[in-house]
Amino acid sequence: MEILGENICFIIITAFILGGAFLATFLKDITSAAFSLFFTLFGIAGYYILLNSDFIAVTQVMVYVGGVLILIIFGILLTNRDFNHNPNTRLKKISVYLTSLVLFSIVLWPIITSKKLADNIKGDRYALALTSDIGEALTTDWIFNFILAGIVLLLILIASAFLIRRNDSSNGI
Amino acid sequence: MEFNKLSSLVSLFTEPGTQLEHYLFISGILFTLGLINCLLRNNAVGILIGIELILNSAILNFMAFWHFLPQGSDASPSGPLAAIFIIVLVACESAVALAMLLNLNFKSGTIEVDRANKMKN
Amino acid sequence: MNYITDDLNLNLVLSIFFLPACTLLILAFFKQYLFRRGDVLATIIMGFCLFFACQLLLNLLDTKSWTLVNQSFNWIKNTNLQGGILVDRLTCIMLVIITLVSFLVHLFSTKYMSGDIRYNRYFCYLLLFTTSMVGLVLANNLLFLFIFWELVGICSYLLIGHWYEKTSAYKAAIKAFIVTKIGDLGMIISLLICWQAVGSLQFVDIFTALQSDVLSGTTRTIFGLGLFFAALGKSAQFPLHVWLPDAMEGPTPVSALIHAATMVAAGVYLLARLFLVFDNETLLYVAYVGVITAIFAACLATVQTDIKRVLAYSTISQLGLMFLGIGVGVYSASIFHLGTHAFFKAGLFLGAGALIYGAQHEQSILKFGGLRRKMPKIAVCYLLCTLALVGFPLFSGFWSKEAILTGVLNFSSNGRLEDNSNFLVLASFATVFLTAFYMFRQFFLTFTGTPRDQEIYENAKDANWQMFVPLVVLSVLALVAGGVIDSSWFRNFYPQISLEQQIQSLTGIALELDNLVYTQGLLQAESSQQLVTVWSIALVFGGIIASSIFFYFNYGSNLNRFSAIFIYFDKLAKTVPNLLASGVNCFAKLITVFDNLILDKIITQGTTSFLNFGGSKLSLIQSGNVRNYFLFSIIGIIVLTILLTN
Repeated sequence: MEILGENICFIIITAFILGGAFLATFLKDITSAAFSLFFTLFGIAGYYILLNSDFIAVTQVMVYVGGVLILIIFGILLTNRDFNHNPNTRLKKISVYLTSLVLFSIVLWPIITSKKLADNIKGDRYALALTSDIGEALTTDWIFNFILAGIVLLLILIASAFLIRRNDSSNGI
Repeated sequence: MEFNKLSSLVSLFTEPGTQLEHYLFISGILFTLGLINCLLRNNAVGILIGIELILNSAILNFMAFWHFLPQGSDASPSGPLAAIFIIVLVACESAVALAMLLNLNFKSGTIEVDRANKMKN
Repeated sequence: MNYITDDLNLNLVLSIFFLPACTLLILAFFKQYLFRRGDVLATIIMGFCLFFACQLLLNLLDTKSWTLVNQSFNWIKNTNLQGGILVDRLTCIMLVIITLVSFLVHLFSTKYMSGDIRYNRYFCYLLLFTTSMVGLVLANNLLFLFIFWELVGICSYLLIGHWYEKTSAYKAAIKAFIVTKIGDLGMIISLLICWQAVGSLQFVDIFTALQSDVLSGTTRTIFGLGLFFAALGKSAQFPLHVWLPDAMEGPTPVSALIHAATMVAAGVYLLARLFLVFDNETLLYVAYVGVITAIFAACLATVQTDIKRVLAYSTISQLGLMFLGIGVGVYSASIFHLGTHAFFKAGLFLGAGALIYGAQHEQSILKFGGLRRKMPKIAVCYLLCTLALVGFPLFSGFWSKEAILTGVLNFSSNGRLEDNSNFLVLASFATVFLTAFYMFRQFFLTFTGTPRDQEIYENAKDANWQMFVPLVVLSVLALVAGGVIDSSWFRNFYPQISLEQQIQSLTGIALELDNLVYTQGLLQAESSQQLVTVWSIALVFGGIIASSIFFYFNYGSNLNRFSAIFIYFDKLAKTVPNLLASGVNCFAKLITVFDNLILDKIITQGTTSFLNFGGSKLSLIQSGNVRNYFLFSIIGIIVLTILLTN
């Protein structure tokens, strides 16, 4: 029984991810939940390294850990933390868990039962994405999408600024 | 119904290398957890956390499928590209979400989504 | 189909149809910008249409062809439903009549209706009426004919109920609409049968099917009876005649339009157009219904006191004669009579309208008298049209009536009927007599003698030019339309053989049908013509003399006793439809019970209470709670996934 380092890495990273995700879901305190999300996001970056695309891993760390997570924490800090007046009812909890369970089994079902995947993954050559490949694709075949993404980003920037501005007149947003 | 794939989940501990199923399984768990987060958190920021989890599981799916499914010789790195675009969208989404959150806070003094029910009935 | 065409005739036809239609839209939408609310525009446009129709007629006379335009286009793709235009001699005659009467009625209305509260709307309706009638005669298939047939019906409803503030007016409108709808039931049945049996609604296909025995036997009989029933309602034949006298509630020019050119002519037109479809038994029904209506309405006309009602019953009577003509096979004579009748009946109605207008909207002839001194112009025109209607020698009505009567006499002397054959002849000649009697009764009571109501007499005024011009035109036509010396021009233009000639020119098939053979046989028996001439002249003079004895020289001053006989007819006339109506009423009550119990209580209220209950419960879901919505949408996704994967 020979186990590669890849397997070990995968197991460790998975432990990080799942632990973070469970904590983020079930911790009562929202700040702790946001911090435990850090482990999940970082672990997923590790997955990307295992999946042979370093660039995405770096992007994940930069955007998610460095951007989105910070944004979330800012959101927590900037808003009123006084709530939890009405905790969830038992009925609600049960229905949510039940629904999620059903959805999980639906998602899992093809993974467990389908045979096509099994045939396909026999190939030796796994895909590999060099940063230069991605750059080339973005500037040639995918240039339109790239530009579109840029435009969307710009629009969102303006829209967020518009949304967030303090308006003295009462009709707000 | 055969559950032969169940064994491939266990193969992580028996055979060298990871397989597609492992990633999909983890991504499914992440998705479900994100869903529960969205549904049970009363806090708007908590919902945002749930959405991040769900989107992450989606990106992970893209990457895993791209990596493990065989491709032609001149294939473009479609998985990473999809991931990049999704990440762009996620950045946008969280920016807008934060803006709305703060606005909600200014308006109603809380970010409890249950109390933002002016459209009731 | 290429809509822009070099065919002059097609262009003319399309202009006749589309000019009034477009003008109608202009009038309807831009009324405030138009001079005098657009009445001048409408009149001028109708004048153009008349010109085009005459041009069409001249072209037809030039080419001596049977069919001028025959264009079909696919109306709905991948079906056999085709639209199309057919212009033959019959259509040309109808077009000229329609546009002429419509034009004159428009001109007349500019004066008669001036100051009306819905002046603009009135002209819109007139234009729509004309358009639909033109469409009806242009159609080359039953479907289009049916569409325009219904449009004509709705227009008559709108126009009869023009003064809907009056209870009697809107009741009359509803009555006209419903009674004609009863007839249209037969039309729908015919359409369905035709579609089932022939697979097409084109006239040409129907005639071809007749020849190839596709449409024969019982199918053909039911088809013919359905069409006959539709014509019955439209042309106000017994027992569906009840709507026409009440239709007098509409403005008088509209009555002229309805009675002369548009509404009631449609039934006769339908029978003449599809004459070949009817087998001999159906034609016999047509003949008997026609003659019964003719004499029945003539009797009723002798006791009416409303000037317009007399004319209405006379219309029913004359239409009965046309039906009789078609029933005995002389469809050419019927169309001839339709044309001449259109002229003098329009003249009479417009004359009555001018009279009523000049007499402060008084309509009872018992209050008139001696008006010829006050209204000489109207009196002369009215006399001319009356003479034409009663069939005074050398007037147009004389020739057309004579043609029909000759056909009737030939029919009965040909011996196809074992018994009762004399009934048709006697009844039709009696109608001639009665027509002369009641028309001159009306004329004498109105225009001669001493004034019975001084106030009306003093204030009466003659027609001005807008009223006078139509009267003169129509009176002259009533005089000459039949041909002054003899009526051979019409027999040459639209002879008894024109239907089969036309079909032969269209399809190349020589039709040999039982009713055709029969009518051709009639043509050879011209011997009875002189007999008819002598008798009809004698009867007309007899009627006029009888009438003058009673009403001019005022013998037998006890008028009431004389007319008491006919009062019974009037009662009978009301009884038959009343019986029918009470039967329908019982049925309606049954349906009402059904409606109240089952539909209202169970279905309607049950549904509403169920919906109310469900709604109140479902609104609980709409809590405004975003997370609940999200949960529901997730459940929806799950259900969808399960459904889709299976």
